Amino acid sequence: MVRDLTALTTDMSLQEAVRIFSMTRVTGLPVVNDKQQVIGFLSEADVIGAIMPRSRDMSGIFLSDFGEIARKMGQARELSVGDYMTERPVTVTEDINLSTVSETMLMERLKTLPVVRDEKLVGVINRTDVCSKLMEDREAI
Amino acid sequence: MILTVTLNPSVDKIFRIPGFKLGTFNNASEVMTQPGGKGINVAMMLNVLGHDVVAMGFAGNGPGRMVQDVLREVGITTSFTPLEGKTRTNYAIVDSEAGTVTQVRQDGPSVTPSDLEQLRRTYERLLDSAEMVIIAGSLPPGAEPSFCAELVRLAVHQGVRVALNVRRRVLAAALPAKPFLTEPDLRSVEKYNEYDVRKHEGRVSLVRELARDTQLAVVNAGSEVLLVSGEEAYSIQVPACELLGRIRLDDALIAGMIDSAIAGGAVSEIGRRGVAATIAAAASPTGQFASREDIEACIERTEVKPLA
Repeated sequence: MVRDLTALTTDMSLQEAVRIFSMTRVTGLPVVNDKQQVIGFLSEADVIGAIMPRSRDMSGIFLSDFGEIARKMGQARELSVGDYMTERPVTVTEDINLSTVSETMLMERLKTLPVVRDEKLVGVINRTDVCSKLMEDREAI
Repeated sequence: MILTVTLNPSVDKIFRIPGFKLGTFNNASEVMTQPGGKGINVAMMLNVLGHDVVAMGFAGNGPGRMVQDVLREVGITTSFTPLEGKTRTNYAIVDSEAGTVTQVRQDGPSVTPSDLEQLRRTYERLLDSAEMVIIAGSLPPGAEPSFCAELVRLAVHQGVRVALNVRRRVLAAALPAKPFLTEPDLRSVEKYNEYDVRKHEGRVSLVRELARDTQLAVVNAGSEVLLVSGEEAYSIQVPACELLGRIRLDDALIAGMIDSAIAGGAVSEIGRRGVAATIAAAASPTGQFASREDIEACIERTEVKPLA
């Protein structure tokens, strides 16, 4: 687990969230309320989903879509984290075992899991942590 | 949980150069790179003493990442507000032949009103779980003393005790909020308000003045620590420290005092344990931390006298 409490709040703009992703070099962050309880998760994919047109076929983006993309990019400072986050995200507790974390990440296609104690954020666990731990355990066998 | 706030952290590079000479080449016999900033040093020591610590503040690029990585590696939870600029690097040259420590400090990256607002909101969330807050060190460019005063007010309003180890302007702004413990940063200071703090009498007047607005007023002059709480007043002599200990003169003292205050120690005991922590940390290989056993071993070297 990474003992870091960097988090977003629902009233932050997507622009602020992306700035924090960029500066902290993460691909997503938990969203917390004023009691530090985890109420959502915002990933880069959520931000892209907020900006990109929702209806398009497999042939890709239509030329007319670029106008909408540009407009939404311009609006990013007005779009709020609360409107685009994943609500009630999957969380784990500190005592969870590695195999459950690995399975959850694979099944739910999640890169980062918030770790909570009494619903409050105490850290995050990401795929790199899981891989490192798996390698350590393999070496120990 | 103890929450430490370091608004202007650093990476400290300490060079041991016996016979250091200005204006020529010098060879370092040892170079140490450590996370720095007063609040960070206090957090590291409290962590060694077994406390649950969350370290927050501003962290920029480069050295700022190293600071957070080291804190997390030793088991401290971090919650830093990211900055666009680069966290500062401070330098110290320890010359054991001359018995001197030469320090070079940077201002640190500037913060914007939006950075301050983001930090304030993080602070308010974390206050909910804090039993004590420690705000220590300098302000980065862009932060005014009133911001620090606001942090103290928010904590006191929630019934959380605050320890402050900051410079004069910041302390003056924060004192009306009635922090629990105050210790002015007296490094490179000769006069503080109207008091000549090079002299014992000046330091006594200062500590008594501070005690009007705080439960525990502390003045650390290196050679002696003065402590006043209400009607109680004490003086504790500090034996000559190792050179490395001079770089972080106040930090182990604050950590030792907070450790004792949380355990419910009497005022004289808080002072005694703070000074014992200072002696123990100064004697450690990095001049930085001391374990509980190290502090216990130094208790007998401290003599607490009532202040006349």
